[in-house]
Amino acid sequence: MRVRDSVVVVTGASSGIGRATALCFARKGAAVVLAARREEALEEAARECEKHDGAQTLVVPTDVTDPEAVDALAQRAVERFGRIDVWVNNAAVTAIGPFQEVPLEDIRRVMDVNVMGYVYGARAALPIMREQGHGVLVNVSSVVGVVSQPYNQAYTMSKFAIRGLTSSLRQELKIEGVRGVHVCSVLPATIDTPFFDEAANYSGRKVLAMPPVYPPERVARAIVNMVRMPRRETVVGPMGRQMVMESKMAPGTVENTMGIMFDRKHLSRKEPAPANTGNLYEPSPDSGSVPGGWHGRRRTNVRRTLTAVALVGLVAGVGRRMPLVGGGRGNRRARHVLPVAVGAWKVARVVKKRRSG
Amino acid sequence: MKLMSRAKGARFQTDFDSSANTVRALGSFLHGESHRGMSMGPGSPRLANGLARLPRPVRRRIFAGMGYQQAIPLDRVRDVRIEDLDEWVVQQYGPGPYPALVIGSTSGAVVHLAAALGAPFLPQTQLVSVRDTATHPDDPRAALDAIAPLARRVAANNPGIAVYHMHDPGQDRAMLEKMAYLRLKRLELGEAYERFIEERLAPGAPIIQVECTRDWRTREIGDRAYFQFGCLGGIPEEEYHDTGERITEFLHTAKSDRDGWEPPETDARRPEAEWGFHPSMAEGVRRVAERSGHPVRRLTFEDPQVPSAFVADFYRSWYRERGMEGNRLLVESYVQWDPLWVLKVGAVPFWLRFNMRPAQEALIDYLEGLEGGDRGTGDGSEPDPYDEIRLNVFSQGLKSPGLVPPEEWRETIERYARRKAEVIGVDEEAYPVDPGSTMRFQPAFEGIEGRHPLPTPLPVDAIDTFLAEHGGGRYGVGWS
Repeated sequence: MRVRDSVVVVTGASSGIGRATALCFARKGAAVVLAARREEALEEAARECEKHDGAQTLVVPTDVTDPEAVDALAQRAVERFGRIDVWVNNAAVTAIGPFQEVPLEDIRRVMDVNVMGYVYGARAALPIMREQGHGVLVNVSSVVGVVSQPYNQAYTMSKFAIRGLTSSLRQELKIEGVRGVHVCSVLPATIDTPFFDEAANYSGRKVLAMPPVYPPERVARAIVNMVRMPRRETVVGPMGRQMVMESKMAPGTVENTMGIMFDRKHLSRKEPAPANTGNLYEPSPDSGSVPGGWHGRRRTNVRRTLTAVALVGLVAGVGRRMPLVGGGRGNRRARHVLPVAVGAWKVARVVKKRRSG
Repeated sequence: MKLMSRAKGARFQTDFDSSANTVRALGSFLHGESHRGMSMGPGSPRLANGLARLPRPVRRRIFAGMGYQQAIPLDRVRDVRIEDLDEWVVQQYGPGPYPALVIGSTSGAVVHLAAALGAPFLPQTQLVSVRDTATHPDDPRAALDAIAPLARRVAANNPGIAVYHMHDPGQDRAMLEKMAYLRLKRLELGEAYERFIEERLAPGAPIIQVECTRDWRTREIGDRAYFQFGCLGGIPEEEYHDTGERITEFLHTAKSDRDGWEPPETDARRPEAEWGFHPSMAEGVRRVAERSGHPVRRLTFEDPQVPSAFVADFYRSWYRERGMEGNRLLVESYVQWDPLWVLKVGAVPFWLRFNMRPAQEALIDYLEGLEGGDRGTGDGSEPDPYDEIRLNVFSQGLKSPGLVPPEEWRETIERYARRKAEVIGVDEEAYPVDPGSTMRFQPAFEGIEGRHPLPTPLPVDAIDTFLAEHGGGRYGVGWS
């Protein structure tokens, strides 16, 4: 589907993946309808979108747990732009903590936002798309929708549920012979967004972004590409892809690994945190942002550079059948493989530092 | 299983805790060993001097770093079990049979009393510290909020204890920068302690239950979980809750961005987190003692500092009965004690709770009382001052309000010693930011001239006889 001049509705557009997605669509020339609870943050996001060739925007403050509000969002989008080409269900919250300690109402609230919010979105968007004869519904799930996490029960349930909903809707459309309307899911790995700081938390430990952390723009690009060429599902982040793949071959091992990783890397081992409801019931007071301060872009660049350097070194070393250090007699080039690789890495580091300011 | 349990208990212990050091010191003593380097590290003045030569900010960081190393990572908090800590405690002692047992509140004076009786000590309260690099030491409300989920979890996992989150930015500031204190106070005797009483005491051996009645204003943060702001030290309890100029000045000196403390509201006075005795455990002691045929004796006092004078005079009287002069006083502070070398050098131990003004006042009161006539007790008794007074003080890594400088300590003991007054095992330039303090105290005790053979332990009746003669009321201790 052509993205330019399309009409895109994004929920959870005040920060993180939603905001990055709205910006990405605006950059590609789409009209963007931004929905979330925080009007001020949405206005700011809309202004950022409009910087790109005067992209058209519409801000509709919406609580996705209210089906009438979600219907109204769809109506406003149609009234303003005449159609809805893309609907991105993205708004999500989480409540982290030992199962018995997370209040039941918090678990219910997570399911309301993450699952029922998507249900309301799909029920509002699909009739319009079916009538139009075209459209793409993108449901943002997570790698957690394939590999579960401990102490994150409600979120895990919701992300599994979203994949189930997506698949079921796809089947329904297929059976009913609806062509041109696509339902897809996107499964991001750990993304650098404010999500972790805004999580309801009963674990007693600060919630961290579990490495490797990827920039939200990567998810946004994946969603745009999904619209251009709809697919059933896509995973964002190589580590996420690896885990999803491994989970098919050795589900028990991956489940255990994720459990340990979550305990060690997703929850701080040295920073305690008070019990709090995060942004479950009230949105964060700030004006929102795309990144969450986890340096996803920088970390990704460093990872890529190191990987490239290691590969270059390996290929050079193996290719010459020479030891990496010192080189062989009569082969002067091989002696320089390691210093050159280190030099390249240093240059790359300086460039990245300058870029990140 | 037991080995694992002990290993976990050892990891969960905090090495500078008063209870852990009481157990370690008496365990060593009963094995015929000293409390050198707090019974675990090196006791090397040379190494301590090397550390003292480092720049002050580096020494300050060493304190914070030591605290961080002691504290357990937050993901281990769910593993904390009082049974593991108990296994560690009972493992410190031999198979017995012991002629007596001391159980309950700790105090340096109690260490020496137990040593005189050849008795092991089982603490009611133990310290588990957890990592916390995020909380501002001067924000007690944030500290309460941040640690409450963890304190509640430890309480929930251990039905037989109360958990006190103790937060004292005055005295423990250096440590609080990277850790938080959870004091586990047992409400029941527990299986390991019961087994100890049944298996390792001589038939009919008395159990001395030590009860410090000191309480503190606290706030309930969960079922059997409490928050205590401040603790016994140089700052009066009232000042923690109503901070004035002295605290503001201290905070500015400590380079804090706060002008005062705003602790959360309290809801009740409860047994003090570190020293106070929770009476709930008494029932278990009584039951097991009755079943095993051990009489229970009670030693009660209002403050851990109180029994110091009683124990000092008890030792003095004991030395004199053995034909020694008993005119050599060794003043120890916090956990820098050594029951073995006190006996070897024939010194009378007087323990100071810390290095603060109230401890100094207690020492002065004691020494003044020995001056006799009108100057002393006022009862016209004969003057009986010490010929030699040696004093060692603990370094806690910062100049807390109420800290007494070394020169003032020296002046104090010089005023009362007839022949010799000496501050020993203290680097006065580095004090109180002297990370080697714990390595220096014991070699200094060993350096005191004169050696005496180790006496056979006293029977518990000796306390009866002594107190009948001198009166427990005079010392502020109850004995029944």
